[in-house]
Amino acid sequence: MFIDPLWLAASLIFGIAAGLLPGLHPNSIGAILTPWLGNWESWPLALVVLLGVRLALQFLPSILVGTPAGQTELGMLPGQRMMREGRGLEALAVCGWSVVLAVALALVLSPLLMPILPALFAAVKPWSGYLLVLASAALMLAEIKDGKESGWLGRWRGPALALFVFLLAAALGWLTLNLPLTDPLFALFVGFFTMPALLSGEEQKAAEKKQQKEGQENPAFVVRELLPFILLGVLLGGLSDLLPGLSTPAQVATLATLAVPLAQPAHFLALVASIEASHTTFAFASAASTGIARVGVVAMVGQMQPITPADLPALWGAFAVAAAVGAGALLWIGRWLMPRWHALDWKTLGGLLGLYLAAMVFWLDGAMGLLVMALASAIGMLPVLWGVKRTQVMGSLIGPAILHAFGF
Amino acid sequence: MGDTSESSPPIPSVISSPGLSNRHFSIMLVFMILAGLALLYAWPMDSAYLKSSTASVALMREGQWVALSAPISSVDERATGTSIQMCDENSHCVRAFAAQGTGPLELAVARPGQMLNVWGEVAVATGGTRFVRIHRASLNDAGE
Repeated sequence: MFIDPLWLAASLIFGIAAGLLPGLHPNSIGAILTPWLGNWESWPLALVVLLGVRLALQFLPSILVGTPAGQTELGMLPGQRMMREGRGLEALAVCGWSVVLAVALALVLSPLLMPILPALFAAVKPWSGYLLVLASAALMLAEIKDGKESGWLGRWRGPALALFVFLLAAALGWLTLNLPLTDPLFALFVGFFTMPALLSGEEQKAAEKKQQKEGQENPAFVVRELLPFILLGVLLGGLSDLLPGLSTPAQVATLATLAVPLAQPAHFLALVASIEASHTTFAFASAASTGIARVGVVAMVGQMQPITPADLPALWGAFAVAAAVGAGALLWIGRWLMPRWHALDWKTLGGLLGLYLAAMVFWLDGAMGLLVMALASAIGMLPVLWGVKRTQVMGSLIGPAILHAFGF
Repeated sequence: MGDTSESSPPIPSVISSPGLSNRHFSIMLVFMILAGLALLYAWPMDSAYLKSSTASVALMREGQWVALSAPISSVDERATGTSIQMCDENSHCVRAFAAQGTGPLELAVARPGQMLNVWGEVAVATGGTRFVRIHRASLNDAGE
């Protein structure tokens, strides 16, 4: 595979512009432009470059305005929490460092994992359904409140409500994933997370919080603090490529909330960003060794030109350059934007954001996408109203994964 | 409008926000970009592995790119370029063609019996026969 250096530069610039827009995923760009550009020699790697830049840059709109980030979707939760605390720039720095280190670690580990991926795949498969059921139960049981609880079901009220939300989300998720939508997860997760945040005013509170300016402390300390979570994220991201039925790293990230509570948002953000980064990085090796592409762009590249082990250096190289440029852009743009963000008129902007997201959902998936988003918004309001964890809506992915694992 | 009366919380001691001015982050980025460029442009270009059989080329759409590896059964030097027939172990054959002046240097020494690794575009000749228009190629001796 080859990309002309001039086109590499152009792809990086285009990637930065597209990466700032929620909903404009390289999958969508690829689907639209490949019929015209698919025969152009540089196009497969140009798509990989778009993917790499977006990998890092997507956390900017995710943290600023709470839109779903990549395939983990959950990155917005700790990011928005940090925005509400005035630590938005910290959140961006955590994401930038995590993406860069996770991509580097995953690239080093990829050649080691390639020979053993198919065997690991076969070994894990019989147990995946049971693991998912256990993990989901643990997520719900975590809703038990300590202390005396009066009223309906007492201390079991939380798990009961969580189960209800989980099952509703699972039903919607199962229906949605079986519809012929271009980007079903975008409609689902804008509905589950972003719209309720806009409607409940959380979005506005986060945006109007005056953000800190750039910090002064020793950055090496930041890396030491984050390394265990980045390492865990790299391993979990590789697993998410491995486990059948776990179609996105979002499910793995949800399960990770059991290990890393959202009470420490910076750590969880590092974990989620690393899962996202390593999942994408491992996807190239997975496609070359097993023939299975778990990332949309990688699948598109494979259709244009079969991915062989001989292609991996070029793919990895393009991806590494793009991820580094994306991480740099994330912090450079964020450093300029964050101190000014709170001064914007968020009453108006929040409404415009909602309209933009609805328009994106409609552009991608038409009226059906809007219906999915509306239903997801209704379900997404329930955790806000009932005080259960919003991660229960990840039943939308875990539920179908459990059904798939047991053969339904 | 924004909340300007409330002061920002002190930066927690466990996390700071290095920003782009941080030397370590910048060094990390530069290193990663240089390493990526080295992989992209300096890594030796290897031959394409067999991913598409000669039989499947017959099913491909015009314009599709293919990575193909098979033994050479014949080499024809023509005024228009070099035409090579490649046949796999099931006797499925396909022609690979490089126009005069555009073919990779390897084709000048290609001989029957050698393994040819080709990366190119599926094209359709007059009459409907599909062939591979060679973009890159490399040779291995038979049995290598």
